[in-house]
Amino acid sequence: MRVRGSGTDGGVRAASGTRGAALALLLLLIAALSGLGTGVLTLARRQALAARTTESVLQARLAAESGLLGLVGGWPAGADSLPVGGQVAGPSHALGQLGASTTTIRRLSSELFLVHSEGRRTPGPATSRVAAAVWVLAPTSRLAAHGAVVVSGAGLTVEKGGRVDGTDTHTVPSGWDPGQCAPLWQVVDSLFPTGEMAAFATLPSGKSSSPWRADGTLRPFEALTPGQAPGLGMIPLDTLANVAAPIGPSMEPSESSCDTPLDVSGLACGRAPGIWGGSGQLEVSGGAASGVLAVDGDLLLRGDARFDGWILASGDVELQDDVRVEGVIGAGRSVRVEDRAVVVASPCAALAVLRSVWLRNPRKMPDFSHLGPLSES
Amino acid sequence: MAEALITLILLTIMLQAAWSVTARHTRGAMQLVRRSEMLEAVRISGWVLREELKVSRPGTDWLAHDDSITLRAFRGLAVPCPGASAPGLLVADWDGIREPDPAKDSLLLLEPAGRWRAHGLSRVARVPPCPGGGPTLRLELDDPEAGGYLARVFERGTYHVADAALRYRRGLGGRQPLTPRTLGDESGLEAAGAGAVVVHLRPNGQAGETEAWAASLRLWGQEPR
Repeated sequence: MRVRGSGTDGGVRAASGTRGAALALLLLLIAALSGLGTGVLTLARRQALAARTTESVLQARLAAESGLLGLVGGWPAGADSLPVGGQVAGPSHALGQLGASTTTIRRLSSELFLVHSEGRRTPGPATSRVAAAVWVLAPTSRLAAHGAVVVSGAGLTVEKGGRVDGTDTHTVPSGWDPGQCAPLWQVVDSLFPTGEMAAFATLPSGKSSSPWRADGTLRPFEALTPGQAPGLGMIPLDTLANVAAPIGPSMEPSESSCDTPLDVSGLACGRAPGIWGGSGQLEVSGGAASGVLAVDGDLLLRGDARFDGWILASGDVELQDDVRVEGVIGAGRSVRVEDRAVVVASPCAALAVLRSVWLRNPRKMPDFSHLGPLSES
Repeated sequence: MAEALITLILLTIMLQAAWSVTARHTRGAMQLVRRSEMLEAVRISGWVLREELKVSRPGTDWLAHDDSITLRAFRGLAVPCPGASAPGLLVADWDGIREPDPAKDSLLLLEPAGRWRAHGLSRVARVPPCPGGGPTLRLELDDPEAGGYLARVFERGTYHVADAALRYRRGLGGRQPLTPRTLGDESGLEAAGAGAVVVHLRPNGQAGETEAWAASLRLWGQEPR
């Protein structure tokens, strides 16, 4: 009995010990699996959080980019009256659930602006800032940078009765309404206080010129492209030539030019300025037009052709017979004026034709359309 | 005796199972950590390189090599206060992620002719803010004639994929890891033309893991002029 009793007691103790080990092991297993599950959940939560943060920042960045593009695409008219160094709030854009943006414009020079856009995700604290340098053509600055009636890279030849005349900066192109020029005389006088304009200047190389003027102030932002064809600041000549309306053997603007946004009020319909030109060897032997005549190549004007405004060519410009140009000329190579051809300085014509809508659209600087990184707001 | 034997067998089976579960748990936990680090490496690599390259011009500000990208790493923008600058000296509003340091930074200056030209920095000091401006710095340039409308401060640096991590080396300094050391030998950088670079990220580990977690990021710089 004692043996059985002892055996029974021992069996109970052994079974009891086994159940205890299993419980402990089970608890360990549960703890381990719980730890693993918690790890997975933690990782998933962290990744989701990181993804949400990235999404928020990207949305804020997109809102900022959108604000910047909106500002450049819809340049506020008030920005042109901003003094150099001045800053003004630009338009704000709401993008619904995607966010919103606010913009600021700071004028760095007559044609150069620094624009900021701050985008934010709504709702949420994420913000992002972007900035860009923007160039806007200012006719006065363009004329000041041009500086002479004829600017070329390889000289000016005047012979056989040809003439380049810069002695009267108040010339009103024949056929123009004098009232069109009247508001410009003050600007013209500030640019050419002697009442005269230099007949010729060499295309600036820009290689050795100091950024500073003699009076210790920074030179205006001229956006020259040394060694290349004369353009209109940041608008290169080949771009102008590409968008130019073709001009035939005779310069007669088409009827449709009266309806283009390039029109300047006050001018007769048939004389509305446009952008004319093309590429290669262009020869025109008569007719009349005004605006910008841009040729990516050589230009020959003959007969009684008449042009008011800017003539820009990457190659040679040759004027023959009774050609009359009132405005300014820029050529990458030489300019030849012969026979009875005349080039008369007309700052009024040069300024007026640059007041076209297309040319006044702002352009992001080709280098670094985005400036950064910027500090967090 | 039979009860004891059965108990022993059951105990052995349970121990085996526990050991197996523990080993799998350990492997799972390690995979979890590696997965987490790999995701982190991909995210950091993409973000850092994208932020660096998007404000730079390929060919001018950065060059992609077989295993690295050498670049001007821009750190901020200085906008000269009107009338406060002089030849060789900029007094400018500062907007950037850290202040310029003459020991390691240079700057690109937008000149009146429309060019960006690089200059060295000889001294930097904080000065009272320009009217209406924010933090203002006085930046002395190594060229006494320099002047311009905007300045972009940069340091020279190189991004490598080396020693199992994306690393950044400033100037001639050491390579500092930016990501966890989870990248395998097949990771690297590759010039893809047209101002693009492809970053291949392949984790260390078994083949299945490598394929499942690998990532290739195509990044672009700004359009060259």
